[in-house]
Amino acid sequence: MKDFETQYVRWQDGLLDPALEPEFLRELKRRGMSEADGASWGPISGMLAEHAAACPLENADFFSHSVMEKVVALAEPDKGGGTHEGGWFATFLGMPGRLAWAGGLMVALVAALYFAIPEVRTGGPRDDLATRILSAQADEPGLSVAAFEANDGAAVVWIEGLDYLPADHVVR
Amino acid sequence: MRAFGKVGRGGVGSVTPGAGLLALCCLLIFCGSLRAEDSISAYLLVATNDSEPQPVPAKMRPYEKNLREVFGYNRFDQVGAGKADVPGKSEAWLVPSSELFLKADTQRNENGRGVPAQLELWQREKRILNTRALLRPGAPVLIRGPQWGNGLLILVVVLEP
Repeated sequence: MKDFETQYVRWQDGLLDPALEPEFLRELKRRGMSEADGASWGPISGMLAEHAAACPLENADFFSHSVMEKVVALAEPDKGGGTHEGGWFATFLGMPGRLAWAGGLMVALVAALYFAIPEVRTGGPRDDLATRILSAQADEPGLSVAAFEANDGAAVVWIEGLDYLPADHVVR
Repeated sequence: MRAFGKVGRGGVGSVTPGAGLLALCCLLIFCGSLRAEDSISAYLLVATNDSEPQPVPAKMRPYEKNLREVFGYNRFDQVGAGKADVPGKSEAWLVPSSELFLKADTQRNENGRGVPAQLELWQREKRILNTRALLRPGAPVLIRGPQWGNGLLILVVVLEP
């Protein structure tokens, strides 16, 4: 199959070996193709050969050198991606100064915010820093207890019904 | 020692500013993750109204506004204090006075969320209050005690780092 296609192209270009031509034409007819196809291709092929030929380069060496330089420049970033000696840390330190300083500044900013904002460390709003009374009960008859929140997260336990202590009663 | 000096010259001496900054940030974050053990303190105050109010005790200054607003007095004198570590081995007695004292059973402060505590207030040999609380540093529990003379006894229980 491939031989036929090769011969077909060469036949269209008028380059087919005359010894092979009778056999080729028989194959062409067997495939239901017309000899007129080849005849119509002949002028087109001639015009292409005459007008669409590659322009000769005046400075071929310079052109080749420029292309090679461009190829090398494009290939260099791939070569340097994390494969330097010293690994990613050396790559980090080797980054352009402005980028490295911007990264360092961001880390310092996050650290500063971490220590400056209590909510970041405790993972909750300011309300979570309040002391909470979960339960409160009086153990003596006649006493009553109430618990409530005060300002700044403080909690109050209010006991009512305790005996009055005279001023001369020693409490220290 | 001399060997360390030579190593330092070749290695540490060549640290770039970026690496130094990174190391400083790591150190700050590490230090922030360390927590000092807490302690629980009880202060017994006598609250009175005075025409010439005196300054509150230094330890009570952060809570002065609350003390004034909640109890309605303008003078607070400290008559005793007691302190115990958190968490205690089992239970701790904080005895700021012979009249009122506190039994505290505390647990470990998990994730910095607060210290669960079982607090019992005793007046001499009688237990008068039994309460469960979640204590946060710097946020006290203010317990209103009995009237004493022309004033009021107040127990301030606070978790201190």
